[in-house]
Amino acid sequence: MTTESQRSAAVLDGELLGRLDRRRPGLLVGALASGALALVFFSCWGYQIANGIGVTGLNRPVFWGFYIINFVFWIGISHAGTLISAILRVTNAEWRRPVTRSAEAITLFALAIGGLFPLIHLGRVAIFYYMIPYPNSRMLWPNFRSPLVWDIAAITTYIIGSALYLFLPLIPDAAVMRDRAAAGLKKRFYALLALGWRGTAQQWHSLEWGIRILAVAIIPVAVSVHTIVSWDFAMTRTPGWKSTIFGPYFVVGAIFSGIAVLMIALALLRRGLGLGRFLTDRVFNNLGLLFVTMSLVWGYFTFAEHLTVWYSGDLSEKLVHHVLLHGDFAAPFWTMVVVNLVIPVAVLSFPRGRRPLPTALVGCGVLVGMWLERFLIVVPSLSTPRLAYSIGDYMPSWVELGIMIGAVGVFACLYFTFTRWLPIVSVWEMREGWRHGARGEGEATSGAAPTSATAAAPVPGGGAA
Amino acid sequence: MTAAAERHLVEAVFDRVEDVRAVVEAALESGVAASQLEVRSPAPLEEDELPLPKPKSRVLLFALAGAVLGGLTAFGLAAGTALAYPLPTGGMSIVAGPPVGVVTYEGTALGLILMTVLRVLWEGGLLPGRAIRGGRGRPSDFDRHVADGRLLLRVHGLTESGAEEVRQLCGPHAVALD
Repeated sequence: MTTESQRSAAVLDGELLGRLDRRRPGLLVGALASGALALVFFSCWGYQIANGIGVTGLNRPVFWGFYIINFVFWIGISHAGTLISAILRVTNAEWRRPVTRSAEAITLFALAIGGLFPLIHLGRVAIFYYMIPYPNSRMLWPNFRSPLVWDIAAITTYIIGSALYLFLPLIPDAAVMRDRAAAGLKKRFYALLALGWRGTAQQWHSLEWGIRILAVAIIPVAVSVHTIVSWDFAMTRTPGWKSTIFGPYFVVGAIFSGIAVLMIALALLRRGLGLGRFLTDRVFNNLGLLFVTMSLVWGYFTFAEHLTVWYSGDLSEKLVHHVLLHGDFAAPFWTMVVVNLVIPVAVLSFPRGRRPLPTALVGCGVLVGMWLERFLIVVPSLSTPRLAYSIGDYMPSWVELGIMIGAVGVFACLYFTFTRWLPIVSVWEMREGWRHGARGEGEATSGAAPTSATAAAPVPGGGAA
Repeated sequence: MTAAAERHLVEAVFDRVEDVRAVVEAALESGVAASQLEVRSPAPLEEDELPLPKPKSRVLLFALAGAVLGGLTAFGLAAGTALAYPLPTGGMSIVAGPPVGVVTYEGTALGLILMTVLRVLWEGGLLPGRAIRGGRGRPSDFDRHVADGRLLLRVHGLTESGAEEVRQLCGPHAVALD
């Protein structure tokens, strides 16, 4: 480790860890606003628990509505982190280093929220334990033939895997935080997370093995999760749902919406926390290229899905198809196509469009588009009559709207809290990247290493320099 | 030599790996065993950077064992529960391949993930009550120097004269112990 890189490490401490010591009014305002929204979420849910599922707009035959749409949407967003982070780790992309932790945190929090929606949809949330695999009083176990039980298995695996995949690389940074903190509650909190980490060769060696194995293992799990979510639909004979490509179509959509959230989060972190040195234009450029690629892949799958339905001439399928393309749902459908395909390709195809602000704005549009996609999968298929008496319409109630909007607040609140207390950019991985750069091993880590002049300057926030 | 006489510990703090390497090489030449040397770093070091034996890890082995265990458990759960209370399936098989396969797949992944993390924590001495392999000393001590981005060399189990010799090898890098 050269003196220069040691100085770089000191500056890293100051920039990444020192900021945790400072109060940031913007972060506080954001946390309060998101906290208020989170309150809306829990109030609406509480109201529904007290008054029953009848307070929603769900009806026969539209028995799946906003809750299932949001379940699919949030599970999709969760693909931002773990999958992207794992792919970048496995391919050893050096520019991943400032991105991975914020992406992994998105995964964990989005999954936690997505996992709540089926419980909310149950109405009587207390009967959730019926899904836990143990026999009831008649010695009857949960029916593993049901795709809903597969969901439980897949999401449980994914949430545990994602939490551990976030936690494992966090241990060395927690140890640094522990040793920087003054004695007290804060130190004890970091000590709890650090588990007695000391940075020995054995610990690093085992940790690297663990991260490598988890990165490989988590990719098929992430793919399986959204595939299984798609099978909740595709295993039925409902027009618009019975599709052989729903698995990959959902996975592609999930990665696409996940990148959208990641782009927004990174742009906010860069601007709000002044992380421009780490979250460089290069990071946005590379993620922007991935983003536009996923937009094209999503467009291809959408086209393939609708072409085969249209060509088949199946009457019930064509009815749903018609209301989507030309009927009551045409406006959201074509909006979805514009914000998911036309705008991303038009903006992100050019280097100027792959800067923080344009990518974040495109990301916002894609989020709207991907939510509409889930809406257009769930509602038109159920509300289009196949039997003379089975006519239904769906209008969400204020409770459903409150829970949907409040969920964004819960997510933001969790993310703000994480950013406030833990380094959102992995300190040890940045150090490692700079060492690799100094040793001439591969490309240098994204984010310019501090110059000598910068390194010699006092580190803001009482850093280690 | 009594155990008490071997309890001497020398610590030294370095900015550069090259300096650690020089001291480690000199210490090994003077008769200090590799097992007495421990280097703590703020980021992982490459294998060729220090003349010390490469740490061993059985994380992969345990991960595979966890995968097998998890897969078998999930298979038993999905297939066994179907057999324990057979539901009318209209002539279809009681233990259906695809659903059992899906649950087994997820169980395999879960077993692998859990066992990987447990083994990493075990090998690193990070589980409660587990002594840290390859080193002794203060169990909660990451050391502020390492947190600040420096490298810490610890040589333990030395005799008094051996400790003095190592201290001389470390020169100004040696730190006074509490």
